[in-house]
Amino acid sequence: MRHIMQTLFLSMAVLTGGWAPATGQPAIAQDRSAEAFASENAILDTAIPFAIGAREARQALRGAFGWPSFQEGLVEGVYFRFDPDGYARFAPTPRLDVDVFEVICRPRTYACAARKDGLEVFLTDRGQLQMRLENALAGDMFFVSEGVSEIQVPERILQPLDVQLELLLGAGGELSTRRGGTEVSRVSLKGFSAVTAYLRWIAARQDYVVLPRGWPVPNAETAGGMTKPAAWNSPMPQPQVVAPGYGASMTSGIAPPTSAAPLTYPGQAPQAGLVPGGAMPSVQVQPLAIQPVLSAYGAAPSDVLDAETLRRELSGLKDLIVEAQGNGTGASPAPTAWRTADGAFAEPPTSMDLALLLETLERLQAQVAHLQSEGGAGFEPAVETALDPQGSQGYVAGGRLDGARLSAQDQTGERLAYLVKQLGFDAQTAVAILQASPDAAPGVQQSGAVLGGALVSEISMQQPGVLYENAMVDQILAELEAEMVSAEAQAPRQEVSREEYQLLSRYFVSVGLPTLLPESQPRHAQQP
Amino acid sequence: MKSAVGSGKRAPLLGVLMFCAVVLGISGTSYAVGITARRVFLAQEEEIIPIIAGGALDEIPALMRGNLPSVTSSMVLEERRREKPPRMCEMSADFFDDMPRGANVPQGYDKHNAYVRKYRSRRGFLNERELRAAQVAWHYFEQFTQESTGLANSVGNYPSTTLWDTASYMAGLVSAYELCLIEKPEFDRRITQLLTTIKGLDLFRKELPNKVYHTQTGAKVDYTNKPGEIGFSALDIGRFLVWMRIYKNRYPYLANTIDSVLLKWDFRNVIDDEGLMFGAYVDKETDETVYAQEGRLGYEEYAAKGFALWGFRPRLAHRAEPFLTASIFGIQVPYDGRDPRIFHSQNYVVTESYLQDGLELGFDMPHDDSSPEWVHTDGWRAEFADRIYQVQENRWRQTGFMTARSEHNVKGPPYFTYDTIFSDGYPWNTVTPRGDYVPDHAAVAGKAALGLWALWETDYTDVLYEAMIELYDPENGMYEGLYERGQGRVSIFTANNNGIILTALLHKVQGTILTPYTGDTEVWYTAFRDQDIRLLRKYPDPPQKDDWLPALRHSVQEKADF
Repeated sequence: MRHIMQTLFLSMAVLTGGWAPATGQPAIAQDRSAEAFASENAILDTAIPFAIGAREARQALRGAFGWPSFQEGLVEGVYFRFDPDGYARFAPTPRLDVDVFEVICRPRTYACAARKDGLEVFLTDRGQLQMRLENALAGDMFFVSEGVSEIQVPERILQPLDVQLELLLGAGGELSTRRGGTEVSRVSLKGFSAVTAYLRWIAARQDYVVLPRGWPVPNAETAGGMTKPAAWNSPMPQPQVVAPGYGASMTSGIAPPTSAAPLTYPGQAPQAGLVPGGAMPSVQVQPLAIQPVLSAYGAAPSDVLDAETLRRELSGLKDLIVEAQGNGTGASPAPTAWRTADGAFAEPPTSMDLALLLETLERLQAQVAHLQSEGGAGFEPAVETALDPQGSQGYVAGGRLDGARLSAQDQTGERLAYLVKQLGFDAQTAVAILQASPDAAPGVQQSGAVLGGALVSEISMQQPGVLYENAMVDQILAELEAEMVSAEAQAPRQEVSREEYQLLSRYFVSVGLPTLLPESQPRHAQQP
Repeated sequence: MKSAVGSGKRAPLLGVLMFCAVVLGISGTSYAVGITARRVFLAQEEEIIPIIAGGALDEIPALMRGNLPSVTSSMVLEERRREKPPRMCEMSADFFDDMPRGANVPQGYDKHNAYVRKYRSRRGFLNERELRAAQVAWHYFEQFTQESTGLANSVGNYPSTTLWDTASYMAGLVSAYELCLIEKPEFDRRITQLLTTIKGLDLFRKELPNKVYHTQTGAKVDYTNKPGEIGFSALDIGRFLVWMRIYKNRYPYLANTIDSVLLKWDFRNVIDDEGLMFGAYVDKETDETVYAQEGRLGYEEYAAKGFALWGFRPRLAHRAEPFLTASIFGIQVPYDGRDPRIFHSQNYVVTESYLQDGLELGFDMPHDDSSPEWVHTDGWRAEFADRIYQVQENRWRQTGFMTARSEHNVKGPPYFTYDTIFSDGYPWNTVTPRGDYVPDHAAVAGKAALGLWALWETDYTDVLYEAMIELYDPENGMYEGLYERGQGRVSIFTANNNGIILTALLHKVQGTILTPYTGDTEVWYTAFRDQDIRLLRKYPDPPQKDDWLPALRHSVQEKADF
């Protein structure tokens, strides 16, 4: 009875609010400061060194919350420290007290911005570097000065930076803003190159491939798992640019290293503001974050193949074609020219060349399929998705040899349907692609070879860039490139007509591979 | 003539006989005396020096040492033991009228290396402003104590705490009770629930409490308040031990509970044989426990005294060496001599650690329970504290910056700063936990200002008092401080700040917070005597006079050093 009475009493006390526990908590504004250290806000692993000599250290925490570690080091003449949430300071003194670039990241994202005085630097959604000056107005002039010498820089420094401007600003000195002959602001650029590399490194999830050439990163072999050996030890040029289609899925993309030639995108509309009327800002295509796919032949199973990555790569190529087709329809073809690796212009490849290239591409496809089959049973579903036989056939424009089981007509019809329905080509383009197929009718092969070559060329043009981080694919691409060069050298140049040439140009212009455009030529091929 | 010749011939023979007789007589006497003396002395030795079981000459095995009393200064020096002062509301109106203050005692070290400071601490009843501040500070704990566990949040409503901040809550609770802000039922309810929770805490790898706990669940968490474990902090545990001893000595009825809490802990790795303190953390790569020396000049000695109060012997941790001095505004400010570039641990010089020593322990040795209030038996600690005070007053006088520096939280990044007098080679260095210089976060810390006010009765601390005593939000407690560069108040509320402010106010009323132990044997010393647990966990024996930490002195600055 007594127990029942106690229970009743307690129940009444709780119901009437007389029970002290429930009333203890105040209705005050929530203090969110401690929540800044929630584990979800950690976007960096401070154990991965940003540069040689950097070390992870433990923070001197006395309280109940905070980041337990940070990283500090010295690179390119500036000292730096950063926290797991990306907050960083770069300064020329070890105390990090003067001339400081401060990097702050939006919580739980990879979107970061560096600030010093009135200068703000950040990466755009497309992975391009862009500056913002607090006090800048239209008509202001900008100068980069070093001691007594100075150089005027164009107003488009406030637009996404091209590599030349980025290199210039990264060289140091001070950026001054003048209005009517009066200097309104002056910002030190000390640490600019380091902090921009840091921004890209964050966006790339601490992948070293986005750091500039010559960046003092630790050796992959000694750093254990911190680096990605397949990518870093590759004798091939490091990845620099990738297809724009990949950027859409990334919160903030990876921009190419400053030493890389930027990939200009003529179809990009000029951004309003301070850009002079005739000047078109060069746009760097957002690169792709790719996990290391294949370390080497015979590597451990875990390193052998990432089917998901392959699938994404192939899907990206498909997107390229779709996007190119979408942009290219209705646009007037523009004359263009091939540019070789050394920058010289050459005639486009002939049908014989293209046949060779298509054969090479087919071999590449077969090797990839072979690798996938070696990758283990776990890769099968992804591989099937990525390498659908029909898709492969359509993609390489008849490159598959198993078409012998079908009649030539059925095969052609099926390919045409795939190109139109699955890839979104218009009928004219699809026919042109089919004509480019080596097993197509001889009458149409000559004109169709141009588009087939376009696909191969597209791959070859991306090769210095990035899509393939692993050594095997790099090797294949190197072979492909060598064959292209030899084919060009052997090709009789008279075999390509101007119309075929224009068709090819239309495709590439729409895709936006600027290296195909002669620099001296007016940029009339820009797409809105 | 014949007779003369005849007697002359008998004489040599007689002489020989007499010589032999004398020799025999002496030998016999000597033997008899020796035998007698031996009997006498041996008999006296057995009667004079008896070894009584449990007596001073009895080499008691460890198994039996628990019942020995802890030897304190009052026992050895036969001085009168200090007494716990009454609660403020139970004090007579003239309580402070005849209180001796040692006004005429000269400043400096005495022959026992005790130190008498130039300034005295403030004593008296709280006035209305102080009482209001105490009520507001206590309101922080009313607001932010979790009823499910009895733990108080470290910072506002963020449900996380450390042992350091839990000790601050215990300080606030004692102060609230002794200042008559709460009554015994409330006091007992809170402390019983808190001790019960602490006893049930999941320890870090079955050793000692984890660095951080979730206040709503009592689960051990990491620095992001997610379930996990970080390691343990010797400094946090040392401060917690100070307050456990304060509770045990002030409220003997809590002694058993307090002992049972500590008897769950394993102290084998926290103090080594040299008396150096070690914290623990988890190696990120191997997931193994790493023990690393913890503590720098200031905090290290304070925490060491916490361990010594429970019978441990942190001899090395309690010493000032290695230390150096930096001349700032004419004062040779002591700082830890261990190079941060080598040891990767900063040597922050802040006010807080000295304040806590002064307020809670009276700058006295752990074994001291009898010295008067103005005599600080841990002499060099008081003398160093005087320098810490003086350099801040000098800065105010020479630059105009009101200065009371300590570590404190700040609102927004970087959320926490070490607002130091000296660190990393720079005076007045305000740095983040990773070492960034952030001078904009320099502030007059509320706890430091009112702590200085309580321990140094000077004109300068009157200024600090005026700046701080009304720096509160009635709903949430005392503000963390006042920005030095004019950005206003540090709008954040913490357990540590409010706990130390309450301690400072209690010190004005009652003096040194630690009171002598009034009981005899302790469960802490007698438990597990029949098992090997004491040996494995390194539970100490009751400290004897030989176990006392040495009272030392260091060279005194004679004149200003510019």
